[in-house]
Amino acid sequence: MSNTEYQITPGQLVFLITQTQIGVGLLGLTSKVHNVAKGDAWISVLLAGMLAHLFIFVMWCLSRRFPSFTLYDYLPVLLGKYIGKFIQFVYTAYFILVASYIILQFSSTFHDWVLSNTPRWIIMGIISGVCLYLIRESLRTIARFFVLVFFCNIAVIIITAYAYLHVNFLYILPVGQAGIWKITEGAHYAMNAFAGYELLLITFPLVEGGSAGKLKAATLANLFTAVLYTFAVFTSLIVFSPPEMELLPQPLLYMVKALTFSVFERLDLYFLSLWAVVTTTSLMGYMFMASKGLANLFRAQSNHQNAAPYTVALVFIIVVFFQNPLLIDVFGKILSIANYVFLFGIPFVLFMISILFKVTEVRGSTE
Amino acid sequence: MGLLTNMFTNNRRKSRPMLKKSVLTPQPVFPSVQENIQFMQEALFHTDDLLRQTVSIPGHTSEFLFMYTMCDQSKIREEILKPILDNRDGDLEGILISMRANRYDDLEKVIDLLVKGYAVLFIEGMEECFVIEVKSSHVRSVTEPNNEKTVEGSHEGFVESIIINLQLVRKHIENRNLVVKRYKLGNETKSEAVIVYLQNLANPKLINEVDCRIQNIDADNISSAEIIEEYIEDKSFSPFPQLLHTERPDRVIGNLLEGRVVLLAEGSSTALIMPVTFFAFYQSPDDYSFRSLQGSFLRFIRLFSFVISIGLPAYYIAVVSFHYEVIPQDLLLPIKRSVEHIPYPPILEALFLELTIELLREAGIRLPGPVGQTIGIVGGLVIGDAVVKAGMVSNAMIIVVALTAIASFVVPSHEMSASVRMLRFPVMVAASLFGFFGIVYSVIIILIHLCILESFGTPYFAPVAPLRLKDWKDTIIRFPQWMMKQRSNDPAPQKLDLQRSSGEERQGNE
Repeated sequence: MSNTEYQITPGQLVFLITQTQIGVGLLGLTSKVHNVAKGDAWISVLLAGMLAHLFIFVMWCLSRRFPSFTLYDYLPVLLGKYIGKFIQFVYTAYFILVASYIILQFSSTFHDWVLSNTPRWIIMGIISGVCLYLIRESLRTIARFFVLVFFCNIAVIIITAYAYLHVNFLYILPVGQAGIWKITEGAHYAMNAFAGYELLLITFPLVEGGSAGKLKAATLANLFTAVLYTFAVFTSLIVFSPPEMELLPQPLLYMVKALTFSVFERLDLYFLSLWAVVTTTSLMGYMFMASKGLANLFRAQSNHQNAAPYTVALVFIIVVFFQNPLLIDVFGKILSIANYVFLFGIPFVLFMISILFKVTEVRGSTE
Repeated sequence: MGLLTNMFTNNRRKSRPMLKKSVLTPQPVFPSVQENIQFMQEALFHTDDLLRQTVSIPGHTSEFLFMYTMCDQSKIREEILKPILDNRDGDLEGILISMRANRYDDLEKVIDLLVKGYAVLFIEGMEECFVIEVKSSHVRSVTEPNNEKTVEGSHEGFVESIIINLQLVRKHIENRNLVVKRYKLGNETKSEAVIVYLQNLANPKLINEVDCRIQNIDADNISSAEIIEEYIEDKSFSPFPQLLHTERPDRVIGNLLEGRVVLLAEGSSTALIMPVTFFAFYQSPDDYSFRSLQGSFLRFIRLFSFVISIGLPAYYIAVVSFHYEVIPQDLLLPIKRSVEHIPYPPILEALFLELTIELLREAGIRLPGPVGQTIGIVGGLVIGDAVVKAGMVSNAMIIVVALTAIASFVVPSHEMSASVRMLRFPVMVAASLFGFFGIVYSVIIILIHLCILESFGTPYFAPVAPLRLKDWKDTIIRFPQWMMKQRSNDPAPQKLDLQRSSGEERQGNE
């Protein structure tokens, strides 16, 4: 299974996880969290980052017991053939739905901001096609590409940093104004944006080196995401006054839109272009996980490459027929709950089963 | 789907078994001269440039055959007739030794040699014939190649003879590890090709791979290095060249010393270097003759030119047709004034001008020197000026297209320049359809393609993807020689370390 030809390094894992995490959530994050936690939104985001880290730790504990199995491989071992297959199916469906949600969010944002006359299905088609082109390749190639486009995140930070020319730090005072309960509730809304570290469950056996290195990589990835999110949220909070924040669905974009230079205007258009790349990588991450699941549903331990076209086609069909904005909202709410089930609930239960019944990978059985 | 995969994957790494070639049965030498000559003439179908000449070696009836189109008359005099005249009373052995003749007993082999420019001497009653090299050769001088000129450094260039080319290489690497492997390629042409590498540096797997791919060529006509390239490259349908062409010995030497393999072929002055990465096409020997800072600057300019030549026209089209709000206010009016009265959409303007420039370039190459310049003037000045006055193309577009054209010719490698010029068209079309979104996605596709592409098992876009910061010392910037402690990792050389501390570092320690 874990053929060294297709393994990636822990360093590449950092970028894989970060790029899968940072995606559509970035733009809407501030306003979503601000609605609840007000000026303390940035604390909520930090809290969510810590919570995500706890989840990562559980996933790591689980995966460590099966060092050369992916999630899909040990599900049948832990839960028996039928329930295992079922959970595997549910996971695949979840990944496919998340991928669809990303495309829907992405196309609606792009539709609103830039290409208002272009039919949405064309944007969806292009982004799906680009995804298919990459995820047909081995994980190693995917990782290489993710490392390559990491510079987009840096550019996002640099563009955002320009906003510090017009800030008012008083907006976030007093710290703790919303109260602990509200801050926690805000963290709930932020959790969605952190999703993506479940990649650890799927790629664990495909990474070289010991399990400690993998935990370190996942930690580093989550740390970067948390810092980037907190930075973005914090910056929007101190740029816009609280009443302004209420009105803006995507504060980050409005913020960079206001910046002017002597050679550039409308920085938001460049920002959106970078964000498009970041979102596409996030989509690719989910498509990869989904196609791996789909391939495993039909044949255990098979490669994701053959299933990739079907996954992309499936996602494309879902998003083309499912464009009602109200439904998308409901869809988003369902996913944000499902998040906990798939990222924490199931892995935790699996971990408990694995400990109670002392099920671990039998050495040499896979080879 | 199967058909599509067959069309687009072109991986010759899966070695296929060699087809059985028809083996000629050896033909022993006949005892009589007449019979031999008869046989040879039959075998070569009485071609008219096959001449026979009788020579009088005392005590023997003898005659020799040669193809006068391939032979040097003065050499025949020197090598065959003079020894016979000199040794009038000497024995046959003495004559043959001074002729430097080789003995052969298989006439089939002799036929091949005859075609190559050897003379064959038959002596009555002997079971062997004697083959003497009298090949004529016309070699042009070792001059600097026209398309790879440098300001400083060596001005040697390869010629069409493999022997002289190898000599140029060996002269600079006087090392016992330099290995030359010969191949006879083409079932009909039987042309000679060699691969050269350093035994202690080049990765054995790489050598095997190259060897295997060359062995697997089973074609009738192989006449030049560029044709061999198409048989051994990884993906023929990729826009990017995967083997580096060069006519400069110093470039070949530099690459050999990094552990790469070089292919030379008889009859072409181009050496193919493999495996290469994308960035190798942006390196020029000039970088190394300048000092590090200046070299880095030049290299940066070249990589920047890649971005300009792919992105600039697309960016302009996207801005004019979708996002004119990104233009700052002061610039908006001049651009608006120039674009206002143009009847065509920007993409048509751009395509029209870009194609015109391509036409001019192509025409300039075909025409002799002075006329070529005239074409440049007519094209550049007259068309450029007139087209704006006629109101068909905007001023701004002329600037953009001209800049792009200049940028695309900055690339030191001719093939890369061609692929860059080709690649910008799809990006332009995407920009005209979807604005920035189109540019971003076409660039993503190009980047993904670069990540996927491999050249002889080496990632093509190294050291950027996969990231290896140590190798950046000689890619985007050029560090001083003494700081390059390791060879670049992409050809996976056997020995990574290049040097211990020297230069400034050493002086600091003392």
